[in-house]
Amino acid sequence: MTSSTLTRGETRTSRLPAGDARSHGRRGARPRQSLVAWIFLVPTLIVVGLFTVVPGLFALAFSFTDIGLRDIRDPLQVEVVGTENFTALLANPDFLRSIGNTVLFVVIGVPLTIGIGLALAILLGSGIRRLRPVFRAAIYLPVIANIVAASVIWKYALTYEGPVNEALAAIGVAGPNWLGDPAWGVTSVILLTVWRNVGTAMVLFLAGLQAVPEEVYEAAAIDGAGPWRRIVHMTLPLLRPTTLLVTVLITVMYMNIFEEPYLLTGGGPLDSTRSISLWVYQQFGYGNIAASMAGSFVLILLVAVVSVVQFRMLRPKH
Amino acid sequence: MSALPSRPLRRTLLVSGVALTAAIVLAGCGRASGDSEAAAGTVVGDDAATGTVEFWAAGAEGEALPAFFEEFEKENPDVTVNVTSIPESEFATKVSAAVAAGNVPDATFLLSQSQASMLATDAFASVPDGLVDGDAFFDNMWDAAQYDGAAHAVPWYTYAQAFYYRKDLADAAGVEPPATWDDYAAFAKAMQAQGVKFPIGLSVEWNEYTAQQFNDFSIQAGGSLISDDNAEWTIDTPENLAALETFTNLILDGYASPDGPTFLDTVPWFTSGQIGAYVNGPWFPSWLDEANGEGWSSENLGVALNAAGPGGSTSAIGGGSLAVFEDAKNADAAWKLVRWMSQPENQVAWYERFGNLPAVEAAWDEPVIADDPFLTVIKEAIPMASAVPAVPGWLEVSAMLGSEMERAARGQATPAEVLAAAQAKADAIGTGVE
Repeated sequence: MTSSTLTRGETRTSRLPAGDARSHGRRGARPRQSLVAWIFLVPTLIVVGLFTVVPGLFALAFSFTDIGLRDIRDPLQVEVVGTENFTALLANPDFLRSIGNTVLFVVIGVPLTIGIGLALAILLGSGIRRLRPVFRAAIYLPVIANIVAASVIWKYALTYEGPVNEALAAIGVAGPNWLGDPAWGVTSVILLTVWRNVGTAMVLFLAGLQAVPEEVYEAAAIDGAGPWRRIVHMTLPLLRPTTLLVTVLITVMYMNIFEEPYLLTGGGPLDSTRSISLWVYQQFGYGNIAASMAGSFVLILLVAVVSVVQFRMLRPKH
Repeated sequence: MSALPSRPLRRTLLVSGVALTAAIVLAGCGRASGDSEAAAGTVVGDDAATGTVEFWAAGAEGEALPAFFEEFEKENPDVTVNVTSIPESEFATKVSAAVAAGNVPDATFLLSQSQASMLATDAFASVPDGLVDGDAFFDNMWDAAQYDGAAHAVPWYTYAQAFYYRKDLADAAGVEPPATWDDYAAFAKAMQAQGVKFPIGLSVEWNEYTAQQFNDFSIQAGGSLISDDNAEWTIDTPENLAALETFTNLILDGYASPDGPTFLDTVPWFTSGQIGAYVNGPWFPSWLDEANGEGWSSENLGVALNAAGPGGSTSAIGGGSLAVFEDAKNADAAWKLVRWMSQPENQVAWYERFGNLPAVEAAWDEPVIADDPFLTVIKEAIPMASAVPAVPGWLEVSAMLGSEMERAARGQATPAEVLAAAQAKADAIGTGVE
C-alpha cells in the first residue's frame, strides 16, 4: 500500500510540468509534455495495474462467490452467491471486533506517530545541531530494521518476567502483563508500531521543513515571535501539505496493520489485537477464501473512504 | 489515495469488474460434484531418480533434511533435492496459498493436524500402486492418509505425546507424577514447595495447539469434540465441561500460567524450574540436552503417561506424512524420494539424526529405539493415543476453540459459557464433512 500511495504522490508532482507548460503560451507544447509524462508513468501504471488493480478486481469478483479451499485449483467452478458474503461479514462478531480493534489502532496510533514524528523533526530541524545525523539515523533505524527480528526481540523483552519488567522491578514498579492482558496487549502493539513508523513521519517532516526558507524565520524572530509562536503560526501552516501526505500515509499503514499484531501477539490476548488484515489472513488460512476476499474488500473501501475524507479536510484553503 | 481515479478510468474499472463477474458466472455454472480421478495406474520404476525435486518441510526438520537427503542423492547421482523450510505454524497457510497460486513444489511434508484439510484441496496425487505397503505403517497413520477412497499420502513419522516432568524436583518433593486428574493438586502443591512457580506447563498460545491439548482432556474425560460420523461438533457436552473445568482450574488455582510457556519458552522455563512438567513429544529430551548439555535429561527428566480422567489416559498422536502434488513437475523422482524415506532403514536413520520416530511399525524393534528408556513410555502411549478430529473444519474450529478457552482461563467467562459459545461458532463453521 505504501508504494502505491507513493506512486500516486509522484503522479501529482509529475503533473506539475504539464501545468506549467500553459504559462509558456505555446500551443502544442502541452500535449507533447503530457505525452512525455505518460511515458514516464507507463512502467508504474503497468506494475500497479498488474499487481494491485487486477488482483483487486479478481478479489472483488470472487467476493460475490462461494469460493473455498476445494476450488483453488479450478476457481471458475464456483457458484455466485451475490452479496451473501458481505451480509455474513456484517453479522460476524469476530469481524466487527477486528474493525473495532483496527479503529483503536488508528485513533491512538496515528496521532501518536504523527505527533512524535513532528516533534522530533522540529527538534532535529532547529534545536539539536551537533549530533543531528546520529539522531536522525537512530530514529530512522526501526523503519529499515527487519520487523520479524524486531518483533521477536520485543516479544522476548515484554514477556511477563522478561527484561522490561525486570528493569521496572529494579526501580520498584510492578510491570504489567504486557502480552497477556488485553489492554496492555493493545498498548504493546501500538508501541511497537509507533516505534517502527515514527522514523517515516520524521523524515517526511524534515523534508517539508527544508522547503521553508530560513529568512522567513529570521524575519519573524526579528519581529519578536518566540519559538512557540513560530511553530504554531509558521511551521505548522507551512507544513500543511507535508502533514497531509504524512497523515494519509500513516493512516493507511495503521488501517492495514498486520505484521505487528501478527508477530507480537498473534491477535490475542482475547482477540484484542486482531486487526482486519489479520482476520482476512486467518480466514484465508482456514480456507474461507470468499469471506477473506470480502473482508479485504471492506478494508480497501474503508481505506479509500478515510483517505478521501482526509484529503477533503486537509485540502489547501484558497 | 491522493485522488479517486478519473471518471473514464472509473468507468473502465467498473466495466471490467462486471465483465469479470459475468465471465465467472458464464464459465462457471457451478462445480461438478465428485470428480474423483481414476486411481492412477502410474507405476514408479526401480531405476534411479533424476532431475530436481522441490521438497517443502516444516521448521527444524527442514533444516536437518538437506544433510539427510545427501544419502538419497548419493544413491541417485542425477537427482538434486531442494528443501524449503517453512515455520510449522505457517505451514498449512503456505501450502494452500501455493496451491491457490498454482505454484507448488513437487513433494511436501504434511502435518497430521492439518493433513485432512490439505488433502481436501484436491491438489495431491494418489499414491501409485505398489509404491509402499500400507500394512507396514501404524494403522492410524495409514488411515489418516486416505482421501476420496485412496491413499494420497505416505506416513513418514509418528509419535505420541507424554507427560515430561522434572524428576529431580519431584524426587526432592517426594511425589510421583499425577496418575489421575485428582492427583494434579497434590503434585502441584509439592512441587511449589520446591520453588516451582507453575508446576504444570500447559499449551497456552490459545490457538490450535491449545485446542489439541483440550482434545486430550476431552477424551480423558470420556468425551469427544466431534460425533462418530464426523458430521457435527459435540463441544457443549457434560464430558467436555468436566474437561474444560479441569484444564481451567489448573490455571485459576495457580498451578499453571495462562501466559506461558509459549513455544520458544518451553525449554528455558523447564530448565529454570519455572514449570515443573510439560506435555510434549519424544523429541523433548534431546531438546533439553541440546540446550543444557548431553546427559541433562537422563539426570533431571522423567516421563509418564498423561494423567487419566474418567475416560482413561490419552495423549495426542502426531506425526507427518509425505505427499506429492498433482501438478508436480517431477512426480517420478518425487515418489522415489517418498519411497526412499519410508523404507525402515531410512526411517531409523532419520530417527537417529533428528529424533522423529518411524511410522513403519517394524522399525521400532531396532535396538536404538527399543532400548531408549524415555521411548518405552512413548511406545506404551501410542496405542492409547488419540488424534484430533480429522476433518477439514478442524483448522478453523481449533483456532476458534483455542481463543474461546482463553476467556475461561482468564476468568472472563465460565467454562459452561465458553462451551456454549464455542458450540455455536463451531456449528456455523461446520466440520467440512457432509
